[in-house]
Amino acid sequence: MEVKKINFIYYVQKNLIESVKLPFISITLGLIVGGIIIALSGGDPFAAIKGLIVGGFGSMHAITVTLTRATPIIFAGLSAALAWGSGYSSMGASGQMILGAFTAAITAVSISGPSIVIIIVSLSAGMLAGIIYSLIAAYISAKFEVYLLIVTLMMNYIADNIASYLTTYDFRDPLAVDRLAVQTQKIIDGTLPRIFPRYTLHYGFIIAIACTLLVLFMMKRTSFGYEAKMSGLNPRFADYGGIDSLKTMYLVLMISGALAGLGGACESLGTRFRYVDGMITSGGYAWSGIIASLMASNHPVGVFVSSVFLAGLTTGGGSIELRHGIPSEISDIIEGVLTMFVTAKLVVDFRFGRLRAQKEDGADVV
Amino acid sequence: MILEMKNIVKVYDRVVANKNVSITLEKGEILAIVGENGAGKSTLMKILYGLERPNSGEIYINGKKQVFRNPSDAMKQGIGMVQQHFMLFDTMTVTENIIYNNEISKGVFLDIDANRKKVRELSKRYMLEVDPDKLVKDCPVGVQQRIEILKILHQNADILIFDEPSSVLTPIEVDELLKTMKRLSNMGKSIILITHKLGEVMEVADRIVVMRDGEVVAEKRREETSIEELSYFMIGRQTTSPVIKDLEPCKEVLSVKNLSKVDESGKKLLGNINISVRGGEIVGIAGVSGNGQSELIKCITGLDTDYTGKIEVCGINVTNKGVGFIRKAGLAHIPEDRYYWGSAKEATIAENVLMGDENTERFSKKGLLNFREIRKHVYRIVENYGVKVSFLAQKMKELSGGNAQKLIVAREIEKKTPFLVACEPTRGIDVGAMEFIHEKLIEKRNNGGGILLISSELSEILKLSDRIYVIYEGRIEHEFTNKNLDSRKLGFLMLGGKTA
Repeated sequence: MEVKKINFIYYVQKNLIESVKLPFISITLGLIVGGIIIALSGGDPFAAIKGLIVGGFGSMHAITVTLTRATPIIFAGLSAALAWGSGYSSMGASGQMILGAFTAAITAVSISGPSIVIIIVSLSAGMLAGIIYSLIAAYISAKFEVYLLIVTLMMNYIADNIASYLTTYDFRDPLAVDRLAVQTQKIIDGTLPRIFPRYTLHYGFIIAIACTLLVLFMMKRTSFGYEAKMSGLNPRFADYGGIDSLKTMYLVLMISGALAGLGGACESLGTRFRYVDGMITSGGYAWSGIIASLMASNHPVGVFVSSVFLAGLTTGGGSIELRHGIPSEISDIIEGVLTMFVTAKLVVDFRFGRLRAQKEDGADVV
Repeated sequence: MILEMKNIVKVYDRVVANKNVSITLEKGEILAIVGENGAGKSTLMKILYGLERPNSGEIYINGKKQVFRNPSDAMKQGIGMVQQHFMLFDTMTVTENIIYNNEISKGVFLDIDANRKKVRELSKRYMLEVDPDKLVKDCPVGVQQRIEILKILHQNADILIFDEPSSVLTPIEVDELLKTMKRLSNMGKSIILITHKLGEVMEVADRIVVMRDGEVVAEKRREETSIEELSYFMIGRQTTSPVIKDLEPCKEVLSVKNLSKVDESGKKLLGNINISVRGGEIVGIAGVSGNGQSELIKCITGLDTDYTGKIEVCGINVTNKGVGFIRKAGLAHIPEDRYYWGSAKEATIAENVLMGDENTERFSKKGLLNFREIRKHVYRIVENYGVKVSFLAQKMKELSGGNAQKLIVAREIEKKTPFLVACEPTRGIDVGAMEFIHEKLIEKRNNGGGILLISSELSEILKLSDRIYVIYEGRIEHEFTNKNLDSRKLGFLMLGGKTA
């Protein structure tokens, strides 16, 4: 064998370094900029950053809170990673999560039976809502030749308002102590159990791990994953090879919608035990998920790690506010800086990738 | 003499595009510059128009030396260019497009009426009819070209460069254009016409310069030359003799009947094409690129399903079917452009080799990829075709052009389909890799495969083909076998000459 083992190791190292390099630089720059802002506002940046890390990951309590928050971000991130990695720029995770969360919440209170059955049916219902909503966007985009990005983005507002309307008028909690609370009835049987009795972390996190592995397997080991990846890397190559691009698009967006819907469902069954108006959007889960997927260049395991990191940032932010009197917005600033660097990478890739492609297409140089 | 370009030399990376080229232009003259793709005529015009700067050489306008750093320098000296792809704003009116950059304004506002009047005036003076208030996107292509010409005249150009002006036009529009050019020259404008359509050249040009491989190889007055002679100068003498041995052709692997295609604007891209390829033969399609080859390939391979006529691959009717279906029927396809169509640069070598086979029984079971088989297959291909790679998970973009091409050729040949479409199989690669690919194509033919070979390198077609079709302006009207071949006549037909 001429193809040497040593080269393989070199490849793995190089690949690992390359995929870790960008998130690492982004995180470092984010922390530096955050530190500068803390220093400018009169705080001690080193104490604050240490506080952030300790607050996010420093104790069993911190870790479980972080992982609880990370759960919906992982789902949204996987959803985005699958779509973006296949070349379909869907921003629809937010809307799909909202409808998933809402559908699961009302399903769980309207059926009866053993909790395990209620859980499975409700989660499936949430997933189905995500699938349907994603497929509608896919259909509109394919049929009327409009950008998927715009369609999905706009449909997020529609989903939010639908859920808000239904929660306000048709499914409002009749037992709420606070008459102003816009929320559905509390789920009694059919909540996702906690992993450790004293902490908020629930089985949704286990489902998230399972989904990460499943997506990893699907992307790396199946012919569908191969076709999706090729469509993302060079759609013309995929067409040329005989891949049915329409079918691939619908399948990819279907699974992407399913993941987001399931993420929303886990959030209402595991954390809130009901649908509360605005619970998905105020958490910023979908957006964080997209950032996580950008940070990880659409690699499922990378999405998982980045999601946990982003969640930890938020948890830590809350903690430094309490302990160091530094506003928790500092973690938003760090996330903002991160987003900026990560999207800058996207823009650079896009611009230069296109320029390079144009140069090579322009065969008529001579 | 209104224009003189003296000893122009232009070198790109390693390619010499212009070797010491000199041309002159008189007032009111139509000068045609002809040559094959890559002969250096576009480069020369880019230099004249200020888009490129020469490595050495001078440009004189009315006897005064000029240096053009950009197109606006050239425009100031009265040089205008009608681009092959029009530079117009589609959603704006004809007037707005023509006056762009030279507006008449009232204070800070645009004086629309005065501008419109100006456009009417221009249009009347040069007898180029346009509706000043129409949107450009609502005008037919021929009118858009008129707008482009008016725009340049509005900038007071005295020297007009037309770059392949007829390539996007219908025959009637071409006639119109040729008349316009003659009229403009009679009004004292000087014209440079870049083209490889010799019929048009013989109709309008006063003088003809032939370029080949970056040099001027001939300069003739129209009266003293003919299409035959010009095509001979353009193509040169082809001495390559076929290297293939005789073989009894077997069953038909491709049959195309009455294939026609019209684009959105109504221009005929392909007209009534009838071709056939049998197992055990290589059939070449000779033609100057841009005469419908790309469109023909797209129809045959299923990348374009919008055409009329009938196509059969290996006896299966694949008319208007997509790529997947035709590939299953027995097609393999070496694409025109190895990076645009033929590969994903960011994907690994193995992933690039797998394309088209990801659902075959050999490499996948129930949707799961069989990596052992895939690795074995890729390894064998890399070994047998001498593709220089360091490891199988290497990215495609890290391969050199020749190696990437070899890999793509290997992928398509090793599918062992009865029919192969090979487009530009050796474009832009070194001689060694070229020879190797030629051998592999011949080997496939000798094993009974049928190959349709499309190449802009005439020598390649002559070397490999059993039979040759000539394509010109989307039509195939002539066929040669390698026994009765006359390369001079072939070149003549490729460039649009008519035989009685």
